[in-house]
Amino acid sequence: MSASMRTCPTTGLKVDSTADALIKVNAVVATVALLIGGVAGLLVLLTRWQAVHLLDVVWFYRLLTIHGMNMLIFFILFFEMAVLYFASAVLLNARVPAPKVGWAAFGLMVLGTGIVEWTMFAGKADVLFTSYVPLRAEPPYYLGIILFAVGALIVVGHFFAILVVAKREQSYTGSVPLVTFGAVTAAVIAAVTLLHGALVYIPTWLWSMGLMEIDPEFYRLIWWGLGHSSQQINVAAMVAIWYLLGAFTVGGIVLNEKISRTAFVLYIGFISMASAHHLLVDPGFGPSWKVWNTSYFMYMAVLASMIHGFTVPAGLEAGQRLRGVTQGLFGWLRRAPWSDPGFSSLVFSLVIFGFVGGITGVTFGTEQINIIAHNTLRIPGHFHATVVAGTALAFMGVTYYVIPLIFRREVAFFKMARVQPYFFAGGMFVFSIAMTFAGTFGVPRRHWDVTFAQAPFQVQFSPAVDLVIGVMAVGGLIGILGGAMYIVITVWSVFFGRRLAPDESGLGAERLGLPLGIVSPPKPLPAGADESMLARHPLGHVPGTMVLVLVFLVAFVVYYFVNWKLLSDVWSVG
Amino acid sequence: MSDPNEPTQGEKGEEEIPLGQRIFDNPFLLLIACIVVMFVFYTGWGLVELAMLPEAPLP
Ligand code: HEM
Ligand SMILES: [Cu+2]
Repeated sequence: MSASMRTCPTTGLKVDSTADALIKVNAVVATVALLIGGVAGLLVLLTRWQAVHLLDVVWFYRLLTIHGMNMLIFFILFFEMAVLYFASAVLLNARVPAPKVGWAAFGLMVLGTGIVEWTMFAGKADVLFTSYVPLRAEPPYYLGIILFAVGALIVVGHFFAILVVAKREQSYTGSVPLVTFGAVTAAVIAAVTLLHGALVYIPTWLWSMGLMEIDPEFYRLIWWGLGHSSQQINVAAMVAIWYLLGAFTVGGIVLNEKISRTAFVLYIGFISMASAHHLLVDPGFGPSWKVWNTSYFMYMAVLASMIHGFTVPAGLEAGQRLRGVTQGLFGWLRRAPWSDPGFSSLVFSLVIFGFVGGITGVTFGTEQINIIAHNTLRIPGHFHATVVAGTALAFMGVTYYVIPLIFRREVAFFKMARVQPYFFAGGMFVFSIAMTFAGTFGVPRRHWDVTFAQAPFQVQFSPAVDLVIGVMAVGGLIGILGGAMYIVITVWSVFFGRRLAPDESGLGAERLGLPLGIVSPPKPLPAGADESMLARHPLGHVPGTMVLVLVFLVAFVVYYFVNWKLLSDVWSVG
Repeated sequence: MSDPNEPTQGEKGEEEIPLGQRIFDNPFLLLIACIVVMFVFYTGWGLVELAMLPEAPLP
């Protein structure tokens, strides 16, 4: 065992000091990226809001590139590196076998990030985060991404090394916890993602220096092997955090390990191939390849999300029913700790991810329907529901536990922390739905001026579009306010928050500043508790969840059907 | 029924671990499965599609 382990007074887990430190630095850099990306997002939003139309055309695309890279790549991935160290070293009581390698990887990632930021702000890389060839950035941009990716790949390798060492040194027995299994899923998908990254960015770097040719369709194929798969790292990490937060906040349980783990394995098998849904209107691929990769097989991954979408709330419901919260269908929701930002984040993340992100995603990923959604605002509408209201919000929620447990500080401005998820989730809910609506009217994504003022042609959108975009802007502004609150709270807590004494568990603390799951954790389950102790209801052991799931399925069917109807209106026959 | 943050044991202590659980417990097996599926169906097949595209008849 490494000499420098501390024992967490709240959870009893042994925490390796390198893991501790790496989690902290990754989380801090993630927050810096969130800040840069957030400011860029605000300016981009104020430009897409046609009534304001703030930026000129060059800075619109520059800041859109900066927003995409900082949010989707730097914020999310640095945070995920922290999640990998947490789910391996911390949850398994394990040591970090190669601290120097861990620091070198972090250094590479920061160096790469710095280079990319510099090229973007200096106007050397106005290529948006997809950098579709033949759009050409200057070579250092690609080099920066390569360095960043190599660093991330090393962290993934290190994660697997921690698992191996933990098993060999028997820091745990049996199978790894479900949360760690979710992180394993994320790491496996990350490996595939980064392989595609190497396959595409190294040639593109050479191409940017004039050393070789690249076929644009080849670029799109391999780039989306990276671009889509990386979103699935986010999904796996987010689901792992749902399980984690469920247990922390209300004592959520895993009803069936086999089912939850199988769902993660379905992600591993079938989710990356869905990269093809980005190429559904590309001329280079035939329908068999498209349909195989975006429906039949890929639906196994959709199934996996629907399984988690059931088992997570079911675990929350069952955990509470077993602890005596048995009133009615939804007593477990009414009596839940809504003032714990960890809990509210979990619920909003789950609901918006499923109802808005999931339903739109599966619909737009259908080959036929894609033709009316492709490159419209429906697409960013969809992914702001998945990766922002889903993943980013889950990351925010877990931060309120990471601050006391890892940074060993109180959460500052706790009253603001309580409402922060409401602002962020509420804003992004309105924003993403309004954005999707605007797209349904045909408004393009990534477009500086949809009035086409100086264009040689005119396109008239429905007059409703102005209103819908106005609603989108208001939602976006509320979301940004929520994001700003998060940054203020975390930065203040981490640098100026009250330190917790080494033996301070937070249990029963009177002062405001610790989430409820730490101050009064869910009481332990009675020995030998299992689902047979749950009352039998006509809708099963978890009737509330059943009702929610049925509502979800109806919404899904309706939205899917409406879109076929919209598609059929595109060609009026006869 | 279990806690998502705790390792799980086999049902009863020393019992033989079921095959499925042994597979799931091996991250490297999962990694290989993931790489194979992706590179066969998406990347490999996609590259074949591109290689078989006829030349554009444009001048
Ligand atoms: C409250 C915060 C946010 C607001 C108001 C916001 C707003 C926007 C807007 C207006 C666009 C431009 C859409 C277009 O013109 O096509 C955009 C694009 C985008 N956003 Fe956000 N965003 C926010 C947070 C995030 C977060 C947290 C992420 C990722 C984790 C993210 C990822 C992206 C990506 C990847 C794009 C696409 C860029 C491109 O098309 O190249 N956003 N966002
Ligand atoms: Cu995708």
